[in-house]
Amino acid sequence: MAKNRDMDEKIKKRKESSRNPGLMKGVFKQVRDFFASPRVTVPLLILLAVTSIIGTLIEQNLSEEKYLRHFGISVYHIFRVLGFFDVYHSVWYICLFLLLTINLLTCSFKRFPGTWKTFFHTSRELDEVLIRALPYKKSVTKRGLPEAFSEDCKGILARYFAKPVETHQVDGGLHLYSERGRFSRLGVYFAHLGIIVIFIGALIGSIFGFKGYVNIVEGESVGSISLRGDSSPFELGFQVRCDDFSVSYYPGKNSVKGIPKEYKSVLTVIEGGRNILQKDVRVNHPLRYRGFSFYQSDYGTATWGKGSLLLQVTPRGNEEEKRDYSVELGGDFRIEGTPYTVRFTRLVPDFLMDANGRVTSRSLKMNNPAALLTLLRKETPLYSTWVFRNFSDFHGKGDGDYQFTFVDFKSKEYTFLQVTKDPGVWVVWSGCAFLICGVLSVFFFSHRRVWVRIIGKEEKTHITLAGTTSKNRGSFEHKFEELKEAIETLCQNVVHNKQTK
Amino acid sequence: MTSSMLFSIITFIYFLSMFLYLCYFAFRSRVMGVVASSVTISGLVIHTTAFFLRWVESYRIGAGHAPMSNMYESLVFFAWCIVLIYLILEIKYKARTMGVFVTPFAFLSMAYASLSPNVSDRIEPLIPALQSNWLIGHVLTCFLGYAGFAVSCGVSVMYLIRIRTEGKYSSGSGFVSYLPNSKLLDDLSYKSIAMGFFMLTLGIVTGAAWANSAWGTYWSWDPKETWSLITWFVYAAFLHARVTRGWRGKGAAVLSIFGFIAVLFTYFGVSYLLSGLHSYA
Repeated sequence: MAKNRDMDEKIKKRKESSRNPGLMKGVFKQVRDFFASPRVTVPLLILLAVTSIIGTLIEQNLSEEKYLRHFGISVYHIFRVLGFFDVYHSVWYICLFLLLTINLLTCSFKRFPGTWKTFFHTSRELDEVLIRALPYKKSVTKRGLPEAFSEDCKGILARYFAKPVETHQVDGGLHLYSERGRFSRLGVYFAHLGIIVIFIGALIGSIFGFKGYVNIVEGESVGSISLRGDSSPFELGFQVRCDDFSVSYYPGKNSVKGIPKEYKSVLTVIEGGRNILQKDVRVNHPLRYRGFSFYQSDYGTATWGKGSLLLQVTPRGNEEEKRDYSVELGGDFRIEGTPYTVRFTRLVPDFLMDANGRVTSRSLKMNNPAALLTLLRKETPLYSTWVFRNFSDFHGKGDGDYQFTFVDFKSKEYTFLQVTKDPGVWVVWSGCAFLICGVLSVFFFSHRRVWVRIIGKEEKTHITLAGTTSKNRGSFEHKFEELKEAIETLCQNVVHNKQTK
Repeated sequence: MTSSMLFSIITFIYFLSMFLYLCYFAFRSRVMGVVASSVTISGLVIHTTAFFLRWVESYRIGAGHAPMSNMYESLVFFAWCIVLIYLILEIKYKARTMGVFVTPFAFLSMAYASLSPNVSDRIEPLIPALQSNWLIGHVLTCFLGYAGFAVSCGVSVMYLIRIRTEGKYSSGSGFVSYLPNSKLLDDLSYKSIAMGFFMLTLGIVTGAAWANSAWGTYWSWDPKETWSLITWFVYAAFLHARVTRGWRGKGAAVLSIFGFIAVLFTYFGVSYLLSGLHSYA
């Protein structure tokens, strides 16, 4: 069949070239015909497969220095011109996809009218021309009038295959036509349409979509994000607050203990001053709002100093009355039931007093954290004192009315979120659905058609059974045998019945 | 009895069935063939049991998940898919000699999982990125696809052997005449590729959906993704060559073997030679 098609094309081309249009037009037409030919599909696919390898061997989108160090100046320049450092976005690679799309579209358009014809205008009558064209056929001639057989033939088709459509002819002949899996003829178009829809979706995404990221410290909110490759912030039009970030670990036996199980940010969307929604964002469970998606990507400890000091306050000589308070750097709190206020004025992560009596920090690590507290009475500072996490027995100024104990300093964490907006993503998914349905019907369904003609002639009835399938001949042959046997036995029965009468 | 022990036993069972199929092929003994098939079927039954046992075991250590999350588990699952598809084809087409060319893939996969020092059989808890409903769907479709391609590769090798000798000997003499005829082999190769291609398409799409919910982008040209696409292109070329160029037989068989090399690279090459987001399996 393929050979015939080639021959046709050659003949067509010869005819066309003999008309001799302008040279440019001729070249253009040849190029167009070349890419419209199904013979180009396979080389294009192979070419795409081979060129796609490049980008997996050369790590993509690294810095210039890295490439220079690795390849040397001359190779670097060649590769850069060829676009090997960003293959999948290079002009030639996109062109290959474009050619594939053109090829796919033109081939589909060329083939579609034929499919349309078989799909909607299959002849329901079995004439001699059709019989000659069909690969599977069987004729039986039996005594008796056609009416004796027609109902049973219909029954057989309905039972073994599919309910037939009847056509009565003027000459008295009855034609039955039944088919299955007609939709599978469209499978290939669906699959190819799916691919084009995916491309359109990807295009929409690359034009209207973007990728960015944002850091949010626990308790804080942001209204803008940073975009990749763009220094100015992007306004979201709403606020996102991180209420909490936490990492949880696997419990259980030793082998799994300590392996991170979940990274979770509790995010709240605020718009117009109102809390719109709250969601636990985890890996694989993003927050989606107004077309933006926020993905849990990373986390870390916020710039130190951000966080809260856990402090225990004990009135001197009254152990029973001790209470816990939590305070942020620069903040203060009132000791309950008293006019006294405590202010957290300074935090030193690794306390050190130098020769001059000045307090500094040995390092930025929380090795020996100390907090400077000031006790106030109605806005009047009374005294200041240092408290230490590592030296809880040291309660600062000995003669004060209160003992302060540095219980802990809980640093605030920040959550790192990827933010994307891709309006094309649903287009891509619908393309994928088309592709899957198309591939499914191409490979697992076939269009099978069966005709039966019943004609009476001089007390005899000629029954002709014929059929064809779009693919999967093996299973159709089996089905056809079944039908053939059923019709043959039926005829015997009818004849037999007549004889016994 | 732990699942790892069972999997080691299964490795030997598959070795045995490989050997038995070879004997069946060499001595053309029907009894041997029936024994080979029974051994393979019982292997698959034990394999399935061990798979679910490992699933239960993972819950016992507090990290419950489908056993499809690391190299060891994927190799074991790969072998399971191969044997499953092979047995379906063997029963449907009564082509037992296929076993000689297909069971080695299952055996090698199991042997590599059980014996390689690089592959740990420990049950590992799922890192957050792998905790997704897409895990089972994605792994299942990808590996059924890979297994379909493995079967097709085995059948294509058979085909190439078969056609080399088909003209030379009269039928009924030599080992080779015991192989199914080349038309059936060509058809079987096509059928397993069609199944594999459908599964690979599903695998790529489920992978994209998963990537979209985990990383915020459905396609990032990560080497694993790219290589799965390369494999997809190769088999798409195979399927189109059949329709538009009438490629059957030898060319198709060679392309099917090349396709399987791409599959192997997607599976192992990317994990071991290239770096990327799929570093866990």
